[in-house]
Amino acid sequence: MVRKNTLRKKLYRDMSRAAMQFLSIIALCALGTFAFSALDGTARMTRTTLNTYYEENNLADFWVTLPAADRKSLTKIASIPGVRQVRARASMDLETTLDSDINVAVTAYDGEMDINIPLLREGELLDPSDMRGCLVEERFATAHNLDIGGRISVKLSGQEYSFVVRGIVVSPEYIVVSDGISADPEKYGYLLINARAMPMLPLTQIVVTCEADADADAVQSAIQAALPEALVVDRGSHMSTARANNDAQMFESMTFIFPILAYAVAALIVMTTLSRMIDNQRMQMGTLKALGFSTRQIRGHYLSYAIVPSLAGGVLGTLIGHYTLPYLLWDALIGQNEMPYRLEPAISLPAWCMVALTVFMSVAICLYTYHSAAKETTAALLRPKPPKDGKRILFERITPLWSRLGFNAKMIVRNLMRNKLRTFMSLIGLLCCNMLIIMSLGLQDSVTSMSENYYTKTLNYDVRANLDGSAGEAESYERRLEADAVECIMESSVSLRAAGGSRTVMLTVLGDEQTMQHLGENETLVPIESGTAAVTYKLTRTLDIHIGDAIRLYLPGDDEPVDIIVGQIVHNNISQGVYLDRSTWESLRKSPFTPTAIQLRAPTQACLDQLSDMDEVDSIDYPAEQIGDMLRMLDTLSSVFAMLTGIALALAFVICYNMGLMNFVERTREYATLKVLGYHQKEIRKLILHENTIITLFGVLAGIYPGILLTNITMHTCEPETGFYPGAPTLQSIIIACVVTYCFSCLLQRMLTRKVRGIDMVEALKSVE
Amino acid sequence: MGYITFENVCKYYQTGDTVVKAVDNVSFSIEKGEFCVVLGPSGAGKTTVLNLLGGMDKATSGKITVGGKEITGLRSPQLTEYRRHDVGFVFQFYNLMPNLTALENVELARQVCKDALDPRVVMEQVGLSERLQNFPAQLSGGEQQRVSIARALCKNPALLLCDEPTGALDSKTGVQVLGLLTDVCRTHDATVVIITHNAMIAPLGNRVIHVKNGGIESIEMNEHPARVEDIAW
Repeated sequence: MVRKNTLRKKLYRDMSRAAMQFLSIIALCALGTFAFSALDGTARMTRTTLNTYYEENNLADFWVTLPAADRKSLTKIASIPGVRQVRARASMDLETTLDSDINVAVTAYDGEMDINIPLLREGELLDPSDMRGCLVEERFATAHNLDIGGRISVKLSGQEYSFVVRGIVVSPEYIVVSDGISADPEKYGYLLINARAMPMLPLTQIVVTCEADADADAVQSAIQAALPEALVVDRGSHMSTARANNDAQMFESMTFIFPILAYAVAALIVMTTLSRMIDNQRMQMGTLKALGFSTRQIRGHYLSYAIVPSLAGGVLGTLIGHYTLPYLLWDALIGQNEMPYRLEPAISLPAWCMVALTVFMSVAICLYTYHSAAKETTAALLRPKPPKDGKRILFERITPLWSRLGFNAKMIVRNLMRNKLRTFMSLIGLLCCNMLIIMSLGLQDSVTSMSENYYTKTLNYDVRANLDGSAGEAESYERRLEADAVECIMESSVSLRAAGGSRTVMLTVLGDEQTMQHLGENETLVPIESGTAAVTYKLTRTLDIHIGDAIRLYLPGDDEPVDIIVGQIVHNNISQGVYLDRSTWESLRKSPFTPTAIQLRAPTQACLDQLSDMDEVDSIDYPAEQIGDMLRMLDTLSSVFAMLTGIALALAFVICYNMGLMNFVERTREYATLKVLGYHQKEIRKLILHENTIITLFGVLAGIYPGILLTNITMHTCEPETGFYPGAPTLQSIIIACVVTYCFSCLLQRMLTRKVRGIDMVEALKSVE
Repeated sequence: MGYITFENVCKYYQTGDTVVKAVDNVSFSIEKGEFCVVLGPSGAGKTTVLNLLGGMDKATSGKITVGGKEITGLRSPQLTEYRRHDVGFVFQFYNLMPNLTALENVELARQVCKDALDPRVVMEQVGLSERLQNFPAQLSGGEQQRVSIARALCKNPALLLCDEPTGALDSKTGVQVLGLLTDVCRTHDATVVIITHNAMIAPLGNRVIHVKNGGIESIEMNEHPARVEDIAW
């Protein structure tokens, strides 16, 4: 027992002597598991909450919009195998009497609210026979001081309908409450009422739930086949549900690339450091052997070197990651998403696996190093490791260059080449730091530039006026309105069926000579080819559509679907859909070209006034102002990116510190010799700093390209199905990242080289170890 | 007044409550150009004396002067200057830079010194003109020690301090190295202080200081030091 205790004592002493090295290993292990645990925790928190909410409140699987949700259509859907429940509803955005630009989505249930059951926050749910009551969305109610018993009125065709607030609710079908891009409870909310309270409102929607084991695709096709004039929206196309799902999915997909990379870098450095630390102890290993300790005891001793810090760091990182960041990210998430509650799943198995992997890898490298040392005889171990030969390096053979180098430069170059592993690891460490920083800054850039490009370049107009069904002829608007250019478009949601599946997408009919939607690659203007359909790039990827393929479009309210050939692939990063030019649309002989929106470039003030006076104009959008809305919508993304930047910086710090420390510890003797020779502290520091500068410069430069690549990959990982997010770090971010990495490395070296002063020449040179 | 004087020099190490008196109240002096041997068993305090003399360590109390300059009062940067221009060191384990060639190791010393000698000339003096481009790992122990001496000599120091210079060498090589050191003493007009536990070396010195238990046991003057070839190993 005594022997064992002495070994343990040695372990504690070794650890306290090399405290900083052990601490940096712990920190690296912690950072490695932290990123994964944090993102994994957030992803599970979001996903579990959403799933439970959807399950408990019976979220619809399909929203079917049709001209009339009568008994016949209900029966048709209900009889489809796999359908569990159907419910007819009316749904319409109406103006409130609070203010002319405050709208609410009114959903009127024909009977029990048994699909998309609202979650009550206050008050009580609505009785199906209640003709005067309504349920109001929580945030809208707060924004407008609506309490239980309060009143709210809406306008429909000039008539006012007033309701008493019976309950304050949130609804699973309104995670995102918005009629535009981002949520704004001041301007928009929803009301739930009974259909009989507003008989003027036509029942045009059927919500459908499926059996748990039903094939959703088959059910969707069956509904579409039974009711060809209907627009069938599944959860993937339903705005709120899809967006909530995208956020959850983003967290899930972010759990891969970044944390795994951060983990890999951390692991690499930890393994190098551990292996060096054990290797540097070979003489002590030999001594222990010579003293008669068993191999098992010695191995156990050196394994503790690995197990203690990796376990401590791994568990620490996982715990901190799990109990801090998910809550911060959740706060960012609920900025746009109205979540009912927060479920907090325990630390997941994969997160624990990361800890196990950390310990496993550390132990593996320890065993490997130990065994490659232990292979040698005890006597060989006791002899100091033959110093690594100085060698002529290739560079020296280029005599004209080599001889021009100063003495110090020669020394630095040789040092770098002599210890290739250490140089290489430092290089890799710096490369990764720079890469991760470029990525985290680049992601933010990409989000910003994507929003700006979309609203200033893809949508190449200044004002868009949305028209209702009473719109007149396109030519009359184009003639009447005073602006540099006026172009009308016709948009509608359609079901698209292709060989690779079906989706609800936007069909946009553009004027023949249109100039206001730049749909080429990199936001260039390309003419839409006549006679065929143009499909956006991402959609062709999702549904495996190629030029020359036929696609089928189900137009709402029309029971004859349209088959058309795809002749062109266009690019839209934000929304996916199908584009036709006007003459192609008219040749289909479906309905006349009735504009749903007018796009204007540089309209006069008179023109704007005229627009707001027109009855058929529903709303007016200014793309320049929508950039902000879009960025707000992407807030969750930004907060994740901010977190990544933090982790990247922390990682950069620890890696630079660790590699610098290792360099310093291993070369104390050399520095001591220089000191004895009469080198001033400054001169020694300069040597170290120059060496570091060279590694840093190479590492930083080498990190630029991977950084850009990684930004691109990560952006695509975060994109929803309807988005194509290209990575575009700006030059400025790249420069900032490089400067930050460079300064980080240099500052840390400066800190470390202060230790030169502390080198005790007598101690360091006393014996060869 | 000698060239080197130690006056009541003490060096205590404190570890916890125990004070170790490595050097306790030591006084002696050495004249310029002498070949001085400091002799004593392990743990007698010889190395501490050398470290204090070389400005690598600071005395707890007492006064050390070298060439009229008081070392004990110097601050760290001044001590560096002192080591840089006045002192050459030769270590038991050579302490060569493994990644510099023999010649470059010597040039390392020239880097920091004002009136350094030509490294190639010095290498020739130590008999290594054939080995200039070899790395330390490619040299024998004796050769490495000679590079180490060349590195010290290159600075043309007034004072050459050697800590067990033959400690890691076999007798034949040891003799070569000692011969080299005595030559240096004569030709460079340098003061040489050698530390050793090997009594065989004592006859070489003009002055032999016997150290024991942190103090000086005796100082012995040698009018006619033995020649290197004559000492029995």
